Amino acid sequence: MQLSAPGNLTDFTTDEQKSDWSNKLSTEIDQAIAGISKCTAASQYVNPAIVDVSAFQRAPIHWVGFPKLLYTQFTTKQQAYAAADTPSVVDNGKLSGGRTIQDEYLEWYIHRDQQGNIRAIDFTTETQKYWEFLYTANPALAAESYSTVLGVNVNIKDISTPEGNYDPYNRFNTTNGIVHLVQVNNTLEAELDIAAQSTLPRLDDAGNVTNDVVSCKHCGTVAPKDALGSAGRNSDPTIAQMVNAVAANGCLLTIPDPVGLYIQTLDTSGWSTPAGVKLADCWKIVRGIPAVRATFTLPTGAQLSDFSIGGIPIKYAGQIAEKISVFLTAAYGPKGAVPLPPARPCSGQAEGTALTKSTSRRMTR
Amino acid sequence: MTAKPFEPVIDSTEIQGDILAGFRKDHVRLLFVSVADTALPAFKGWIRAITPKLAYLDAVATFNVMFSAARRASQNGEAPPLSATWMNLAISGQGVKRLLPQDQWSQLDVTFLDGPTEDASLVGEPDNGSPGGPQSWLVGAPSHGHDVLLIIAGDDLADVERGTSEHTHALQNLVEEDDAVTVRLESGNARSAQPGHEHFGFKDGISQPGVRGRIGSATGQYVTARVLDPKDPSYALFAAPGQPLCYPGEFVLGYPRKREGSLDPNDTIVDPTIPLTKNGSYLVYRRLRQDVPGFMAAAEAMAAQLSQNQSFGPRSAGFAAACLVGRWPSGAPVIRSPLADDPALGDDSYASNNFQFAQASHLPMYGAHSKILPDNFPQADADTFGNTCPFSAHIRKVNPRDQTTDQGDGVRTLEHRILRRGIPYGADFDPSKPGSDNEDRGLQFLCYQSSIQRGFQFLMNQWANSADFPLGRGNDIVIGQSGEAQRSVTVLAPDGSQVLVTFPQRLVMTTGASYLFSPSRSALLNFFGS
Repeated sequence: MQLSAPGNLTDFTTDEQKSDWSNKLSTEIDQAIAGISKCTAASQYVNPAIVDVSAFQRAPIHWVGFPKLLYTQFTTKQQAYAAADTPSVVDNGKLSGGRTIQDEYLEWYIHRDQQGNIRAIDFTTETQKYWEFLYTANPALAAESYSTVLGVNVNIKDISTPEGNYDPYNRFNTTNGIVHLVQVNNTLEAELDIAAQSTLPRLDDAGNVTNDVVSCKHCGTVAPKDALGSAGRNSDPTIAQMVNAVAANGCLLTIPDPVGLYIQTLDTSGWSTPAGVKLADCWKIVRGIPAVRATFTLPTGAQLSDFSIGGIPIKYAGQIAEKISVFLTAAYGPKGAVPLPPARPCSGQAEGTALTKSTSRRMTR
Repeated sequence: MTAKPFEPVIDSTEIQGDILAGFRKDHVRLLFVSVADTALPAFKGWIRAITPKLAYLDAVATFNVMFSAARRASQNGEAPPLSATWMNLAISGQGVKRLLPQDQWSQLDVTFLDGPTEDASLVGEPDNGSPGGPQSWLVGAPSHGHDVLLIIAGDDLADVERGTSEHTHALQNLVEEDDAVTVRLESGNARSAQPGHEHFGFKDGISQPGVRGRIGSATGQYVTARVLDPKDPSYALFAAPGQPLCYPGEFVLGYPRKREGSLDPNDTIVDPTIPLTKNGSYLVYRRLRQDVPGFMAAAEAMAAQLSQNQSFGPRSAGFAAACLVGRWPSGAPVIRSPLADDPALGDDSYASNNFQFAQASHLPMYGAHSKILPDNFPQADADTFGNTCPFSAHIRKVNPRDQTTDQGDGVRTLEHRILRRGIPYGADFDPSKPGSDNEDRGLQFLCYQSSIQRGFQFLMNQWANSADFPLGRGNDIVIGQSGEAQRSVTVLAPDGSQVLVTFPQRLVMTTGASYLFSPSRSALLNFFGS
């Protein structure tokens, strides 16, 4: 089947673009599968462009959008929120600011008035891969899509490097706005890679089968930093453990069409709003089905601190990010469709150990 | 590099005894006391006078050790002829604002100060004005607050009743003015027909977190007894099988607690305290009315629905109810006894809590000193995908154990543990008795934590009430609240197919609530009573 744009977006204007995107995404998926091919005779991860997964069951794997790693780096949550809300700065092609630490596949841009008060917050889960593709396919289309998303006029030059390539750190995606993810770990490739790699049965240091695989080395490699994902994030351990658990049933599985990362919901329970203001009028999904972009807009005259959650006034955008669920969907087929390969050590050292019945006894790593 | 575990020394004469040791009594009386302005000076005197009479950690922990040893020594495991009646005192947000100057009370937690009506909708209660909303609460309704809670708990009913009567009388006669001090009495008693079981019929309070630390000195007894042999792989992190060790700062202010977000369970921080807050704890009270016939009917309907799934085949209401709870009535966990109750497993307090969700359980190696024999019950398989114990099961929702969550690694669950001190109230449901279905019965739920936001509020808002967590498998039907909205669970059949079951009504309804602060002995004397 032809794979859709993330969130079933309709930016593409030609059939060729649609076909090319599908092919590009399919290639990415094939590469992720190739990464495990040396470790299993029959990959459990399948390419939805090739395999009909329409009858597969769906399981949304979701996590909290605020970066957990910041909790450990600061003494108080307020400090963590403030760090995540730090404005972006691009200096000599190097990005700094809050976006570099918003690593839960959710990034945001804060619109402030002249007094520095927050007026709106744009949240996105769109990947750089998609926007690079748009630019490569048609720079004018990319600029036009930027304009549509942001509601301001954006030209090709605005989003290009001096060499004429796409510039993900362009001002409309960093200092002046947000269109797609730029944090180094927030990539579509990372999502596909961790999903495919996590299908493999793994052994912990004691030789027991474990589904706590996020810190396992990539199949067949011993590179010291080559873990499947970051155990310190909200997202990676959950994705890795859930995918591994499904795969342990001998299922075929995949991330189904439309492949992407999505905003699931804003938990609105316990919110208090200024008089006459409905939360539904402030929080809007503005792009994608499922959602890839949402905006929280403050009504005229209201300040963010006029809103509260459980009686705690909101001061930072990060407090709202903490109430946003991000998700990907796993799709899996019937049990026992594929024989499980031998479990491999997490360490990536000796390989080919036979699958054992016993399992890890650790509560934590 | 990971930090090494350590055992903080706990101030045993300052911390009120119900917090870390737990009263563990069959009879509890809760006296919610409201004080008029004119009676406040006398009431401060009453606090000063009663503070030395309260039970603190040293006495309660010592008694509990004696009681447990005597029970083990008895021929039939029955309760030994030891009896004590304890008291503890906690102050509400309203109370601290009336008893302390603002520069002092403002140092306390804002969620506590705001009280349970402020975050009611955050924890899933119906909106104010809706049936079942805070305005209908029997305890703690808006504009019907109270200042303090006196807890009286004992083994002997007559002794408890006598103490309750005496203290109620003393409070009501604190000043000559009529109704200057009023007392709302709530009662809890172990169910005589099923001691240790709540009204839906399930054994309650089985799984409590272990608490690190030694009482009184570096060589004092552990707060939570350690029963594992050092050779057991879980020894460093667990007090007993399935009972992870938390640092005392999760429950009492001024002690180390796990650093939020850290992957190392021994990576700790100590929140700053002042004399007012040191050795104190936040107490959440919930008066939870249980609809027993409603629960039974819901289990019947769920069973009928499960039975329509070919892979499930005929399933009983008992099976359905166990899916909702995660345990069978005896306390036997579904993950270790998937198809039927096993009363012997339920009676084994260690075996019935020896399981994880993401990893299979193993036969524990008990220390020789514990005199605990290994059990012969089948061990639990890993159930990461919720094939055996549904993700929506109550015990899995509020304590995912080693499972990863929307917060990442399973170790983070240690940041969200609470010490529960619930006890049933009301008469047993008797279908043969006319009107029994309309009687008020349920649970006097109490729990201690060092942060209501990290504890009770988080567990309700983020996990119990979330239909998305985990994998979109639905709500905690037992305690979860979703306002007046319908709730649902998705259960996996043996063939992996999904069965969606909806529940139009709440089976547990909050009919009272309070957020309280349980101060140290010194704080009671030097701040609240001064």
